[in-house]
Amino acid sequence: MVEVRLEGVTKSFGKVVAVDGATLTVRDGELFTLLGPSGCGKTTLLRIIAGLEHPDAGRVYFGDRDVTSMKAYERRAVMVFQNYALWPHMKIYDNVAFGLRLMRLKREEISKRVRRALEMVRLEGFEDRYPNQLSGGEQQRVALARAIVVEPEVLLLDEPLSNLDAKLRVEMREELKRIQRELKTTTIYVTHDQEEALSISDRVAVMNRGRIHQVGTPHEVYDEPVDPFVASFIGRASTVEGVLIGVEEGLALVDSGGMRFKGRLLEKAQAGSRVVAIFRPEDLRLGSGGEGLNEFEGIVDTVMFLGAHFHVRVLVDGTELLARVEPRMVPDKGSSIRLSIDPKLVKVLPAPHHNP
Amino acid sequence: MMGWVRGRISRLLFELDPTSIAFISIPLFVFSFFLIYPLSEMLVIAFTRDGAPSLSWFMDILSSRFYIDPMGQGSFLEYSPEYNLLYIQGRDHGVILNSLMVAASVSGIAGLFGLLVAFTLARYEFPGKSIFRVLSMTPLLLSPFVNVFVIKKLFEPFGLLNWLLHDVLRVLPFRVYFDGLAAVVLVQSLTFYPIVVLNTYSALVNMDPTMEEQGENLGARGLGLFLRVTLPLSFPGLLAGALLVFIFSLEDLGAPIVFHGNPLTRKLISFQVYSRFISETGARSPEIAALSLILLACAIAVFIVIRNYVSLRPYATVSRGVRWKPRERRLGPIGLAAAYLMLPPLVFSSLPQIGVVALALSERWAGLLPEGLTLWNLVQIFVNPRVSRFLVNSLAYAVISIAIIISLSLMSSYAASRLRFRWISLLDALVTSPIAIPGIAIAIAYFYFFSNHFRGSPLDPINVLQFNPAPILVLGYSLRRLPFAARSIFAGLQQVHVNLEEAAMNLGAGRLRTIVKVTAPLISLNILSGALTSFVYVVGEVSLSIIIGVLNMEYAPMTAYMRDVWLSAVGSLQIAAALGLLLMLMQLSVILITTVGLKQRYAFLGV
Repeated sequence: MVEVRLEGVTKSFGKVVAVDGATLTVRDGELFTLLGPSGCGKTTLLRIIAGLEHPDAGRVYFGDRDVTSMKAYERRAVMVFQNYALWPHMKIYDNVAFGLRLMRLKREEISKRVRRALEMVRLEGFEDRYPNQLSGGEQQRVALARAIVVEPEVLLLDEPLSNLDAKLRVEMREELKRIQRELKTTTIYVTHDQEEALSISDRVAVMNRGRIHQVGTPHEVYDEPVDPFVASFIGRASTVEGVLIGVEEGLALVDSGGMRFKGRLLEKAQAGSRVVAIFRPEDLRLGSGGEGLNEFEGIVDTVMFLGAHFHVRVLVDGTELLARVEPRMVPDKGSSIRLSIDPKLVKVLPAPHHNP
Repeated sequence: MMGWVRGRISRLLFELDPTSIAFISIPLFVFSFFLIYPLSEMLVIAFTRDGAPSLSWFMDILSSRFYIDPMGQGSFLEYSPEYNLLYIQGRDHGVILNSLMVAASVSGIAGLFGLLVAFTLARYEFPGKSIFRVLSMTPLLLSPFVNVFVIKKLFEPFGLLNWLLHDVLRVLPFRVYFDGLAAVVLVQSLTFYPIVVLNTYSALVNMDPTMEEQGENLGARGLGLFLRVTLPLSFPGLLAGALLVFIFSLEDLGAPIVFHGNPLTRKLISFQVYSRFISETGARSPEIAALSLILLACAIAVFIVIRNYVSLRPYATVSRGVRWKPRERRLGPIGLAAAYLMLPPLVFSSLPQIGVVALALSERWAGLLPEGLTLWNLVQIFVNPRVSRFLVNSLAYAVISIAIIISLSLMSSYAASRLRFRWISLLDALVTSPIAIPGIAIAIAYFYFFSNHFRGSPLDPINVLQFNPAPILVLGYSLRRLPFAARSIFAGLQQVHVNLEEAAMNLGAGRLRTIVKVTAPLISLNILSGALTSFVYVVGEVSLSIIIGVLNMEYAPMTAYMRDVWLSAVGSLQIAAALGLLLMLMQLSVILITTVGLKQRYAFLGV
């Protein structure tokens, strides 16, 4: 429907900078996720796009229109709140019809569109109930129906699944994805759950402390993190600090004191500078590898059962490495083991000036 | 710099819309123009002599022994062997000191007794507790003047109490007669102590029980625990209650008017302002203005202390939101005996209300008790046009006032709780300030204001023949009683999650439509209970009614009739009592509707 563009959006509450110079573009019709830990400013950014907050600096565009100073009710950006915000004194029908009545549509038109919206969220026949007679998942879907029924230019979802239990959450996120594909509404989705973000988004922005660290497809932010924060926030990862010795055949050689290994340099760095290497647990293998692999010897410190597989924390000369291990191969605690990893899977980034 | 200014302005414009501008500016305008402006005009009058700025009216007052007499005159009590009578009236220290001393004594007595009652109710479980609770709230039922009269009758040298304690039980070796300032202290203590009970009780039950448990855990118990943990943590509530009592005592006219037969009782600020105003009607006396300002200054000073001190409250209730079981224990035999010792004074403080009922249903009260059961008085209220007129006036004023009160408090409470401007809390402070402003001061200020700016019109109080006090009364009632509704609505707004309103705005509803469709329906119970509470307090209002309302009896409200029984010897005491009974019944039904029907808190306060 429309492209959303933010330029240098900044907002502080007192001394706390909630959003710090956010610049990004959400493409027309895509499902875009703002991902970050709680308190990172993602909800504030969403509220600025909705028109519920005014930024201290920066501009917000819907297509070519500058909407920064337009009030919430003057934009067609509709939000689904974390707590659903269903009006307890109105029936489901009236909740959903609210926005349509404001458009002064004909009675039959309203009733047709409400019915269609409720069908879409699979709540046919709930028209005459009150919100408190519905389960959490049903309320969630009413909130969604109330938003999509007005055919907004931008759909804003603020942690819409966080109040649901784990099983329902997975179901609902598939529903959401389906509905979004059907409607092709530009959708901005806020969550702190990386699994949720990676599974439904077209693109993701990773935020921390008010700043956007990286924008990219789920694959990009997972495989090509631009900094240690993104790497450690998305998926599990062990980070190892060291010094870049040099680059050979496109691979970086890193010395961390106790370990010496090769990795893929994701950003330019000078030989002799400090770098951070990122190891994903699923990339580490038990036992010796073949030709050209990094190999480490260490002692098993902890073994954690995670259901389908185990995580084993291995101490390599004082440095922790987390490895994913199949159940039948679990080593004993305290035993000495060998780990190997393909250098192409080790991501090497320049060390940040101060830790995020 | 320019960018910063532009950012500020665009943010301001973003928050503002016609509705929010109206919601801020209408209450602001009404309160500035009809409260702050008249009071400041009174200030100017008091500080002007012969057209020049001058302190002389205040100097005259402060240097006169009539107003301030540190040495004091007369004896506190006298014993007359001839009649075997102990006569207590207090010493005369001049009008201003008398008022302050009376107020201080009343808040001291009410504070002590109120704390005792509140602590017993909050921390102990014993048979008959609910009777204690009801008795401790009974004095809050409004029945202006008549309740004071009943206390007066009960305390007469040959009244019920002396008969009981001296003649029958022989506890007292002589008869006791309270008069003068002592009588005022007695009446006000009996009437106002429940305000302390309410405030202290709520501080005690809202206190996190782990605070006391931690104290016990560390070895404190009994009185030590009470003095070191319980009292300090509930002190803000106790102090707030006692200071409110101080303000109410200062501005009270009921007790001084009923006891005004004794010259000493007349030497109180409130009575002085009132009686001079009445005797000099038509004169815009700067001295009365100065005296009203002194009263106002005392009350506001006390109010500021309350506001600053009570803000410490959250400290004692750290884990709010968590449900806990309040600490209640059973009393042992000694404790039980101590608790029941409180029963006589509790019963006693409820006697005025009981007496009003008895008086309303009786033909006369010449001896110990009212005699001759009759419904004639009650019927008179409705059928006798010379009485029912007052009732009709009162009800009409109340209905109009409520409409004003509810719309203004909706606006100001909404603005204070929803709009994000830096100084918006000042608006809330402004609309709740009438709690601290003595009704007498408002009444006198209105007299100056309307006689000055509306000269010769029916709104001019000096224009005796044509004067119509109705609009002024409605305006004054509305401003004075607005804080009750504002508190109730504000509390309701805090219960409504802002997201519910944001969701509506998001879907395209402007602010006004959001308020009408979403906010107002969700706080309708608070609005209703605020309206009902204000209704009672408007009908029971005294100060404006007997200062402005009596200037044309055609339009006077029922409290003016109730006063008349004492000051102009018109009307019947029994009928005044019947009006009092009616008022109490209204209040009782409102309490029942709000607490049982609407499940809201009923805001007791105000005289």
